[in-house]
Amino acid sequence: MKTALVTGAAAGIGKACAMRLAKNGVAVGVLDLNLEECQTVVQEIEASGGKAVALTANIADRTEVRHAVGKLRDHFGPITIVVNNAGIANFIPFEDLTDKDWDIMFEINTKGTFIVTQEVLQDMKAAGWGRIINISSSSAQTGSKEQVHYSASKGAVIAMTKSLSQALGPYGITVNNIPPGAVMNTIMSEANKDRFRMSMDQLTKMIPVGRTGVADDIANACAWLASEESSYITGQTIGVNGGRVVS
Amino acid sequence: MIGNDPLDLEGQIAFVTGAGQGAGRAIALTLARHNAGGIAVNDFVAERAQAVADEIIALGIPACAAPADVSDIQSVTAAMDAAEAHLGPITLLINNAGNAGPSASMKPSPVFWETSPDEWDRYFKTNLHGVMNCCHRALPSMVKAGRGRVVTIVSDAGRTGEQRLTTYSAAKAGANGFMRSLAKEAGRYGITCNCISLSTLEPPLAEPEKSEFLASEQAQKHVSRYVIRRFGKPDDVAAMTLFLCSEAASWITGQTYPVNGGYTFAV
Repeated sequence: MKTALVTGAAAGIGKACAMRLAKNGVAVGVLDLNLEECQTVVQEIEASGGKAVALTANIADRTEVRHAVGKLRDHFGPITIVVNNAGIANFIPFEDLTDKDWDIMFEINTKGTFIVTQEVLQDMKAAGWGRIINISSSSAQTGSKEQVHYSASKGAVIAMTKSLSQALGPYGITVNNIPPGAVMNTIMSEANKDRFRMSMDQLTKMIPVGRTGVADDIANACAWLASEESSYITGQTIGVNGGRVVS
Repeated sequence: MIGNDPLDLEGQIAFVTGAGQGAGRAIALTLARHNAGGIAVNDFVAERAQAVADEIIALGIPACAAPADVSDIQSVTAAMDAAEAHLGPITLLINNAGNAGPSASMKPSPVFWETSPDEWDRYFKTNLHGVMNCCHRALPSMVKAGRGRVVTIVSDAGRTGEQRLTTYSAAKAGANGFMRSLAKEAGRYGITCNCISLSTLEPPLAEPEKSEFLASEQAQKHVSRYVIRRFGKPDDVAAMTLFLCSEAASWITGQTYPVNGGYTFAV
């Protein structure tokens, strides 16, 4: 049985990824800031016959991450799949952005992804097999006018994906990213709700497949990238967006 | 709603072009193994198509040979008519047939300005018109069914450029642009349209020639440019095709996913 760490897994896309991986027979570390919420996800996974453990850490804090990773390793063994999903999002016009706004965005979305990946990497190298899946953002592909900081932090994740894939390819480890489009009930849609000048009807009309996304759309792609079958795919940006962003 | 196997094809009928060998054959067999309701095996060479159809039938899945030259719309129409009469409405179309990819010998072609204009047409006919012909015939069945998947195999040559493959690159890039636009037209009908962009696959040689080629200095030099240091295998292509055909990929359209060992990256 393989072991996966999913960050930001208490809700939304992270929770869906954790549930989908567990359904595929992977033991999952459900990591988020709030342990109780993680425990609720673990209970759901266990009720479906899966294996999971609740973990808490601020992904930008290496000590906390190291502790959580150690706990997961103790529970289920070496971690060979990581889903870097935890992140923050908001909308602030560029001229109003403070240094603090900028730093916290990169602290979580970019540095957090770096820390978590580095802390689990030894297991993957030892196994000669690994899957690193970074959840980026379609805003990094298209731009987003009041999210200069957010889209830049996610663009950095895409660049990290490419460079890290080159470093880790020889070890049997693939590194890819999924930039989600408009997925409902996520931190993005929460951050967005006061700024939405479009009705749902208008938004849906812009999406060729005629619906907004659900967390499972991302989770399905994530689980596929975590599988054996994707072994020749690395460094790539796997867009899941209903056709709104073509690449 | 997705069951325990997110890649279950729920009995849908597939038409796979260029499926008599290599990646096309692997795609046809993989779809069959994941509960496709039937596979129409297209190839330019009828005997090859029939041999793969027989392999699928041996798995207990309905199949038929659907020989046709994809560059001839009448030939495509006749083959799809016959396939639908035999298997039922086609809702999965895999445009895999192509020509002029890198050859096993990797013999360099001339630079573009030394090619003859008479040579250009054959690349466009198969790699671009072939895709358009198949889509033109298959899409009405999918629209009627309210569901469908079109997956077109393109090339990193068309996505990022490749010297001495200029006309081929142009044709593949054309197919790519066609698919993006088709995705926008067809999405409303529950149809997704995506491309898989390949680098070089291992050549379809028999053993021991294949092992000898893969061990050669020329082959080793070639794969040294790949992050994952090997040629692609037919099953690499088949796995991504299966994913894109499945219900798990219902919100994915207009995309080009490289299956290329990290040769180049997509944004």
